[in-house]
This record gives sequence, C-alpha cells and structure tokens, in this order.
Amino acid sequence: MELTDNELIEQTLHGETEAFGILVRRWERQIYSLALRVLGHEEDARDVCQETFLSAFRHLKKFRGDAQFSSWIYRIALNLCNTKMRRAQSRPDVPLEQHLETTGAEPVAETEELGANIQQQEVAQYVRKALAGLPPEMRQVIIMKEYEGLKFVEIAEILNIPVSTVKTRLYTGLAQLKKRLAHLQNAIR
Amino acid sequence: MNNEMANTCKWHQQLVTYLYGEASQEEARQFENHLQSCADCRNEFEEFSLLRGVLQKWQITDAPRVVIEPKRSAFDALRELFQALPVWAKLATAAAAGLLVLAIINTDVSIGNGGISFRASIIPRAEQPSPSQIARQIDREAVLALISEAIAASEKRQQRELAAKLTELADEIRARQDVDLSKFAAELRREQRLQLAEIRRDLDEQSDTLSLSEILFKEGDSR
Repeated sequence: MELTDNELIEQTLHGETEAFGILVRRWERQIYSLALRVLGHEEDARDVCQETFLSAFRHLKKFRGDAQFSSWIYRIALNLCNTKMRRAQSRPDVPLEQHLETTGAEPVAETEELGANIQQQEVAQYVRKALAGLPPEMRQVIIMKEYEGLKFVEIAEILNIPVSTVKTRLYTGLAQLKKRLAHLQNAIR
Repeated sequence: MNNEMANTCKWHQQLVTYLYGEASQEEARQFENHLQSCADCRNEFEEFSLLRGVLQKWQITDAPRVVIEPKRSAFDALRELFQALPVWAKLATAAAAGLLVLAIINTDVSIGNGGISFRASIIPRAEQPSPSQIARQIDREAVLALISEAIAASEKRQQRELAAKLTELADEIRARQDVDLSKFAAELRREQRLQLAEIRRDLDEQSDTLSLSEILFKEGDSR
C-alpha cells in the first residue's frame, strides 16, 4: 500500500532518507511544471525545483502536520520563483529576448492571421507568452488552478490569501487571457 | 456578442466556482438559474470554457529528475574512510588517536627566560608543582601581602584624617557658640541697662527723696 506524505515525512525524520526520495519522485513533476509555467525558463525552473526539495529536506522538522505537504512545497517553490523573478528584473544584462520571454512584454499579434492547421506547439507558445504577460499574482493562481488542478482552498492556503481573493484573481486573469488569445480561439474553434 | 464588452454582472466568483466544478449542488443550481436570465454570464461562461481548452494546449511532458545530494561534512567523510579501512588499520588508527589525546591532555607549555618549553607525556603526571610554579606561588603571596599592607595603611590614614576633621568641626562649632553667647550676653546687659534707666526715671518721677542705693537694694531683694 502506498504511504501517505505524512508517513514518508515521519520515516525521513527517523533517518530513512530513502523515504524522502519517494516524496521527491511523487511531487517533482508538479513542482517543475509550476516553476516552468511561472518563470517561462527551463533552466530557472530546474533550479527552483532542485532548491525546493533541498529546502524542504533541510527544514523538514519545521513542517507542521496540520497543513498538506504539497501546499508546503508549492509555497516554497513559489517563493523561490518570486525571488528569481525579482533578480531577473534587476539584472540589466539579461538579453532582451529572454526578458520579453519571461515578462511577456512582446504583445501577441492580434492581427496575425492564423491558419486552421495551427500546430499545438504554436498554440502553446502563444499561451505561454499570454500567461507571461499577466501580473504574477494572477498568473500564479491560473497556473495552480488550470494546470496543477489545485482546489481554491489549497491555493488560498499556499498563497495565504482568502478564497474570495483567489477566485477574483482567477476571474480577472481569465478575462485578460481571453482578450489576449481571442484571435487564437477563433482559429482553433 | 461583443468580446470587448465587460461583464458587469456580479456573479464572477460563482462563475469560476462553477466553471472549475467546485460548486456544491445548491450553488450549481443557483448559478444555472442565473445563467438562464443573464446573457453576459452565459456568454462569458462559454468563452471561458473555450479558453480553458486553449490553455490546456500548453502541456509539459518532460520533467527533469531532481537529485538531492546533501553535502557531506568532513566528519562524515572521515567516518566513511574509517569504515572502509581493514581491521588492523582501524585498530592502529584508534590507538594512535588515543595516544594523541592522552598526549594533548598531559601537555605543559611554559614561557620563561630560556624561551618556550614544551613537555608532553602520555602518562598523567602527579600533581607536583614545578619550580616555575613555586616561584609564581611565592611571588603571588608577596604581592598579596603588599596589597594587604597598603589597604591597612590607607584605612588608618583615612581614620586619622576623619578624626582631625571632626575635631576641627567641633572647635568651629564651639567658637560660633561662644560668639553667639557673647552677642546674647551683650544684648542682655544692654537690655538690663535699659531697664535700669527706665526704673530710674520712674523712680525719679515718683519721689525725689529716695536714693539710688535704696532703689537698687529693693530691686535686688525682689529678684
């Protein structure tokens, strides 16, 4: 029978570090995809993923069993993402293309005519850029809801905000994405 | 429907709750009833549903494996090395470590006129003072004696000074008292003189025949 997260944590704290390896295997994909979608950069996402689990391992004793382990590591990952984004914004030597890629400042060409045979990869690129153009607080909520499948309550716990705020940010973010991707929606209907 | 028209309806939170399937049975029923009467929410719900389909086109299929390698401390590295040694090497290492510890515990370092001397011994030495220790002991005792003498002398001097000051103060107080008494006495004699003169005038007014000696004699008897 598969052990729960708390049981694996308990074993890790008793010296069985292999139990933590199971935890890592269980959640690494979700943390990586979260980081990649938030940061838009594969290398940064790998760094965040690695640092998230390292940090979790070091501070495992501080983890309180009343919250979910997943919420805890999501929070660690998001904090690391925010730190990386702040550093990236303050770095003047970041190439313009990379900066645009991460900030989504390059506008989606609404006048671009998209053929009906638009490839999924192209759509993914547009989606990635449109998401990157959202304010971070909206982007994070949409990513956690749409891609990570987290409940509103879980997102609220991770971000330490009320559920109503989560829903408002989600609604506003979706409304902005709808405008940015309107031409795309017409092309793939 | 104009996509640029903002939905002014206030059912935003219920919309996203329903959209993502987290509405309870009652909440879903209420929202569905609302959709029947609100075109804005109906259109927006449809558009958000399509948008979700677009968003799901961005899939991440590959995720790198996380490798957690906690840094080993020097102690862990030494322990691992020790475990890898053969039995005879382990015994020799343990014996050498024990000798080293004993030597460090029984090491004596002293600094004197001849320079720095160092003596190490595996066997603990008896607690006998060395010549340098004895010399330090003597010096220490002499210094303590000198300090005690100095303190005693200082105390005596302070006592003498205090006694002298007290004496001086007492003399000063007596002198002031004498001055005050003299002034008082002088005032008293003056007052007596004045009384005498007054009595004399009274007597002069009453009788010209009484002599001064008789008046004085009467005044002395009445006191």
